[in-house]
Amino acid sequence: MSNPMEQFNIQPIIPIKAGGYDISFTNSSLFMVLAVVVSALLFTICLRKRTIVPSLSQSIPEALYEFVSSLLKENAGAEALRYFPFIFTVFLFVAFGNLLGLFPYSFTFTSHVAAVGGLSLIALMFNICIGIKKKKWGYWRTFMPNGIPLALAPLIMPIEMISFLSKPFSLTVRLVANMTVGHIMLKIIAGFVLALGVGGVVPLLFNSCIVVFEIFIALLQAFIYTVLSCIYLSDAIHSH
Amino acid sequence: MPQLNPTWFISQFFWLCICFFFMLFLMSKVFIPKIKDILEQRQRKIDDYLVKAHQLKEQAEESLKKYHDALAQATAEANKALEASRAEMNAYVAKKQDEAAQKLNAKLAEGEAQIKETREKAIKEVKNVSQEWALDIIAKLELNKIDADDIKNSIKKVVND
Repeated sequence: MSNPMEQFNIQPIIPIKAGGYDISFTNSSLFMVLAVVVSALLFTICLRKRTIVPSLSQSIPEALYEFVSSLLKENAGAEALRYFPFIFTVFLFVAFGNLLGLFPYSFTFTSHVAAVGGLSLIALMFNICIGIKKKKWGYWRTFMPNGIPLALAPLIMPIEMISFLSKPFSLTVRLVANMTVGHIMLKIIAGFVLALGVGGVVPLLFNSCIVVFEIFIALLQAFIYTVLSCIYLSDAIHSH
Repeated sequence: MPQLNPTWFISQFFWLCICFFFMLFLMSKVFIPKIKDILEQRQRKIDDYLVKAHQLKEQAEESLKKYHDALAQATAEANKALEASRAEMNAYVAKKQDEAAQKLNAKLAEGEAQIKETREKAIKEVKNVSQEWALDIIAKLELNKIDADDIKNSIKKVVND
C-alpha cells in the first residue's frame, strides 16, 4: 500500500527562479490554473445564450450568483454587496479547488497550508484595506471594543489583535484539515481495494459512498470558508 | 507532512496570487456583469408585468364598478317602470270599477223604475178589478142605494191606507 501522504507531494512541472526565489510551476499551480480555467469555461458555456427565461445551464451561474449574493447580504448587509466579486471569487476558487481534487490522480491545492493560508491572508488584507478606507484612523478602534475602560487597553488590545490575526489561521486550518483528512481516508480505503482482491468490492463500494460524501464536504467547506469571509468582511465594514 | 514543507510556500503563494487575481478580474469584468445584466433584465420584465397586472386589475375593478352602477341604474329604471305600470293598472282597474258601478247603478235604477211602474200598474189593476168586483157584488146584492162614486172613494181610501 502506498503512502497516503504521497498525494500531497508537490512536483515541479516548469522550474522557474526569480530573484533568488523558487516560483516553479508545480502540480499545485497547475490545479490552481485548472480551477480558473474550468470555472471560466463553465461560466462561458452556461452564459453563452442568455435568455429572460433561463435554460438549465444558465440557471447554474445564476443560482451560484444568487446564493453567494444572499449569503453576503445576510452576513454583512446590503452595503457589502459592492465587494461581491471578491467573495464570489473566493467561493468559486475554493469550491473548484476542492472538487477538482476529488478526481483520481489529481491534486488538491486546498489541502496545502501555503495555498489556503495565502488566500486567507489575501482576504485579511482585503478586509484591512476596506476597514481603513471606510473608517480611516477609527479602524484601530476595532481592537478596542466600546465600553472598555482606557486603563484596560494594554491588556485588551493585544488580545483583540491576536483574535483578529487568528481568523485567517482558523480559516486555513479548518479547510486544510478537512481536505487532508478526507483525501487520506479515500487513499487508505482505495489501498484496501487492491489488497483484498475479490473482497475489495466492499471497500470499493464504501469508497464510492465516501466520494459522494467528500463532494458534499468540498462544497460545504467552500460554503463555510465563504460565510466566515463574509463575517470578517462585516466586521471590517461595520462598527465593533 | 508535505503541506508543511516550506520549499514550495513562495511558489504556491505566487501562483495563488496570479490565479486568484486573474479569476477575480474575469469574474468582476466578464461573468458577473453578464449575470447581473440578465437578472436585471428579468427583474425589469417582472416589474413591467407586475405594473401591467396592476393596471389590468384596476381596469377590471373599474369595469366591475361600471357593471354594478349599470346594474343599479337598470334596477332603478325597472322599478320605476314597474311602479308606473302598477299605477297605470290601478287607474285602469279603478276606471273600470267606476264604469261597472255606474252601469250597475243605471241597471238598478232601471229595475227600480220598472218595479215602480209594475207596482203602480198592478195597483191600478187592483183598483179597477176591485171596483168591478164591488159593482158586481152590489148588483148581485141589489145594493143600489150605494152610489158608484161612494164605492170608488171607499176603495181609494182603502188602497191609499
